[in-house]
Amino acid sequence: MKALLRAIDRRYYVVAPAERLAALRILVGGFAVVLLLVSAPKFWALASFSAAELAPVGPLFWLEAPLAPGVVYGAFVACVLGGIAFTLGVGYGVVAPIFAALLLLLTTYRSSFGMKFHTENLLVLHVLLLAAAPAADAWRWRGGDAARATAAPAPHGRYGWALCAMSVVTVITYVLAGIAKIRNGGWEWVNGDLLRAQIAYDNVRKIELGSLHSPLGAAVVRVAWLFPILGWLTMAVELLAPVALLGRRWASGWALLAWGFHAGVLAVMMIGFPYPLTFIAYASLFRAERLGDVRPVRRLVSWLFGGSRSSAASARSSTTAGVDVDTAVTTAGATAEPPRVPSPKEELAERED
Amino acid sequence: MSRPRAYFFGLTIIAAVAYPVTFAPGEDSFPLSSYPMFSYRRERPTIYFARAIGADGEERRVPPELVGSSEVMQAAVTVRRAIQGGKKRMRELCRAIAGRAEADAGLRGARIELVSAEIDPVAYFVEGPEPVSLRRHHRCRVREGGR
Repeated sequence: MKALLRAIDRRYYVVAPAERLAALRILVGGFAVVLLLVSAPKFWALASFSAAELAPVGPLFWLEAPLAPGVVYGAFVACVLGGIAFTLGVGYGVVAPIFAALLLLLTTYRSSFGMKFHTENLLVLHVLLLAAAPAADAWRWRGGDAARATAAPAPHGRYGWALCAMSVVTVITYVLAGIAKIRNGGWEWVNGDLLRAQIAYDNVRKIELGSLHSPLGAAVVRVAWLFPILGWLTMAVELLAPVALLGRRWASGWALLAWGFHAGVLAVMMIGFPYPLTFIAYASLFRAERLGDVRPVRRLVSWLFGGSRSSAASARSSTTAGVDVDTAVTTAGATAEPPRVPSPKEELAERED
Repeated sequence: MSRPRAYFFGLTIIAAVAYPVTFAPGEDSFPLSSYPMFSYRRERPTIYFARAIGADGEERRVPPELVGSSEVMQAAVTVRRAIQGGKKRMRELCRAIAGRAEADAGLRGARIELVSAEIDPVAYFVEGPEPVSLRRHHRCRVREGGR
């Protein structure tokens, strides 16, 4: 039993570099800010919905009347500003929980008028997890004062658990979608008839409601033999999602398939899931800090965060049993103090916290 | 964050995300969801929408923005709820749509209709776009003069 718990602990409280968690903070936070700004008119329009249209869900289940317009506008502006600070890592201990709560509030409110926006669930859950983790210990904006930048702390489990939790949450959402298809549509879902009817229905609905539909989807509906293949593929992506947790090769294969699934949905139904389509939804499965090795990103990181990056340009040495050990190199290229992997004594102290 | 807190917070979120597996069919929420979209059998679904019939008898779909939302699904739900809510709700929505439509020169003088149509989605594309059945629930007119 102890061995099992230790194995789980190694997987969950996995030692990871602070830059990896910081990279996730920047990617997810940046995505949230862009999404908020692009969807600003839609969030702004929430202020004009009537009480008759209100159908509160989730954490807003108690709401009996629409929020005052000033509250909606204020929450939106605060959320955008909070998102920018979250992304930059400024005042993270205070800002991150506030931003996460505001994002949860706004997106829940948006889903409280008859339509649930399934495109936003995973983003909100990831932000909640990041907000609880020390995601600004590296790559934090220091007001443009590079002299104040310090070397990133050593890799530690405190930087790994949120990444693991984000990956598990991602996987669960896909499995749930697969289970819902089996429960609501039966195994007939995989023979393709239901999928064909879904694509047809979605496009008819858009045509009849005066919205944009997919001409490709309308054409594909006429090709009946294609749907059993697509049905099986969809079920495989969703129900076999846990394979992504087996290792990075599995994660790569699954994430590419899942991305293809969303690209297909966009092509034939004109329904865009931007979070997975940008691949940011799957970033926790990978060494996201390596994006910092790409020259334009490296320059941007260096400009924004000064010398606080240490392993973006690092030489990675090994990955053993889920424990990544990175050798840090400073921005200028000189080797810095190698990051410390916590000793068993330190780990024990951590456990007793 | 200490290890016990990391376990508590992370596992709580993970358990919460998995919880919707216990939802009854049709039940959904946010941000916790059973992701039921695309999962239902749709033999002959009924869709609810608003349409405009011009003075020349030409039929036009009323875009979601005129119904009150730029989101197509939200607009459809608004129309459905009005139809299911009875005459008063239908009258209110129809008037609201007609009021917004006044800004559109092409819709001035048109008749706005709140409609439900039973459709066979696959047959719609394979055989032709005729609904299986169609029902007009309420109608009102867009003022000629405009704003």
